Amino acid sequence: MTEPVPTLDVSLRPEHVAAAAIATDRFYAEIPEIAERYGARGREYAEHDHAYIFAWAVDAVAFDTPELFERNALWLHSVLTSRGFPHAWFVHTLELVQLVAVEQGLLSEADAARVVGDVIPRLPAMS
Amino acid sequence: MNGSTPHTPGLGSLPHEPYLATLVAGSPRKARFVLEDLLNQGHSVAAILEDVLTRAMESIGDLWQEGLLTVAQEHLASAMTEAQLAWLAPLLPVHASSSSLILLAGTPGELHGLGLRMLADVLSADGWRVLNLGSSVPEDDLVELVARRRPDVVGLSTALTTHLRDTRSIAAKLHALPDPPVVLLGGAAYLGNEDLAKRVGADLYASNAPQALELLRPMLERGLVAEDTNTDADVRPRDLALPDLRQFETASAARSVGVARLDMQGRILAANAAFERLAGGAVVGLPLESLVADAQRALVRKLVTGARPSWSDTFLGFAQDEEMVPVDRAARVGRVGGEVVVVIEPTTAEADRVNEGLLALVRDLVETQRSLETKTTELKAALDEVRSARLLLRKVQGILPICMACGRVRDDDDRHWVTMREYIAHTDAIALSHTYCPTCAASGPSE
Ligand code: B12
Repeated sequence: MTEPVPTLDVSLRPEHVAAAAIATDRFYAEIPEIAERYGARGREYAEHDHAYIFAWAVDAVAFDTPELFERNALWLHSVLTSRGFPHAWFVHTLELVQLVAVEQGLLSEADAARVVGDVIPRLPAMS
Repeated sequence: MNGSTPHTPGLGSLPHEPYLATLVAGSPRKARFVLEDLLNQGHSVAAILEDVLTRAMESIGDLWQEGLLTVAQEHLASAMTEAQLAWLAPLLPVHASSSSLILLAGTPGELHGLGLRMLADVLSADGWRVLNLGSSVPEDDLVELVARRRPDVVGLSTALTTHLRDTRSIAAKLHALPDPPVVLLGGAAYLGNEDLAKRVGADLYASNAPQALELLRPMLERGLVAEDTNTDADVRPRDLALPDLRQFETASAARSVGVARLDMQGRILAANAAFERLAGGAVVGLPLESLVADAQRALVRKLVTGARPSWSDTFLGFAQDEEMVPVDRAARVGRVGGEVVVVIEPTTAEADRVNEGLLALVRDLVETQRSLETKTTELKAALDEVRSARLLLRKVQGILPICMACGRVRDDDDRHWVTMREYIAHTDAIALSHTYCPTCAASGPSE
């Protein structure tokens, strides 16, 4: 990991960033190995990526185009797994996003299942 | 591959891999040669932009995505492609000019600007007046400019889907203007999905530059300027196979150096006045070889058939007994026929860069001249100060003639006698401050 942590995009809303912090906390609590593997910088990356994932899910619903979430999720899966991030961890990331998005009132349960949940079984198992 | 970007439909089936290889290797010269070869094979600039540059950049993205390229390599590939665009774009055939105006901009936060630039180039060759604001334009500034310039069309480019919300907000504001423009949306963020673009607020959507040209053609034709409206469609300049000659004329007309454009066989396609004067008459249609001395023919032939740089975009310049300005990358091939020098100026764009260099030099000279003038003024002021200080010194140090009757003192010459108070005030080295000495103060104010 030599690349700098990218700065958050102007288009990300505070509610996506807040949800990202919650999802990242939960991920780190459930899979402590990630902290050992990626350290403090890894955490910054994780929050950054989570914020985007929430934004994609919310946009997919807002524009009534589930493809928006699917294409981006598949893209991030490919970026991360090709750099050694385990497939199972990515699956769990999406599972947490589906939960936290509902808890935080970003998506209805039905939309979260339709947009996020639907993609999980279709992620290519690799890494 | 899963997750990678869908490939934009191209115009034909030009291979992009050789160009991609030069991007990955980071070798700009080879990149240029690959593109020149395609031109020499007769492929159009438009096809090269779409099938080669755009496709290769998509592959660069895929390679980065798969962890096979670093961000630095991705940046290098962008910069290299931008440089190729700079010399390719002026070779696009020019359509009749129109009064129709299109304003192009990247949505806020959007740093992907190459697509916009390509679109700006092809639209302007097609006859549009184009204002390209470049990437990441703030929403309110953009809307304000549109309200002021009132373009017929506003084209917004978005590569990242997270920018679609801002795009929707901009489109809504544009539609609410008293004289709303047609909103054209495009860029990788739409995933080739026209319905999505419509939901974001598109009046029109195009997935690539050639498609945008076709969509906008009716609007362009409405704005065609009078002299061009009668042009027979069959003989429009855009249908000529040859690269744009108008560009050539503008670039070379005013030059004192002879400039000629050659076709791929080394025959002269066009020449400026200086060239014909130096060559002693009309030259269009003649092979360049026929104009040079026997001894130089082999050299010229080698240049023409060596195909590096290619002739489709190359100017040759002739000058008599005159040191040529060494143009960036130009080959100065020496004297021909004992009195003529041949130089190669690879492209208008590169020549323009040289002109820019010259301008910068002139600006530097003017700057130096200005600072010299300021220094001279400062020196003059300092000299004046020294002079008056010397004068003052003389006054202060000298013997002061004083009238024994009225107490006036002599100022400068015999005709000017002033009171001591006036004299002191005049020297301006001493200021008088009104007060009472202790003795007078003790006897109270004299009034
Ligand atoms: C070069 C590049 C960059 C450069 C841009 C430099 C520059 N001066 O433009 C830099 C390094 C800055 C960059 C940054 C990033 N990039 Co980037 N980038 C690319 C890359 C490789 C090529 C883009 C390009 O120039 N293509 C060539 C042009 C000609 O094509 P185009 O933009 O698609 O335009 C054509 C059409 O779309 C259309 N069009 C475009 N605009 C418009 C507008 C209108 C009105 C119309 C009608 C048509 C139209 O016409 C054009 C010609 O046909 C793409 C890969 C890809 N597949 O696009 C990734 C890509 C877009 N980037 C990506 C990413 C992730 C990023 C970053 C987040 C991280 C990173 N990789 O550095 C940042 C984000 C920056 C930001 N906030 O915008 C991802 C996006 C993935 C996703 N799911 O959203 C891609 C797809 C790479 C990938 N496969 O992973 N990037």
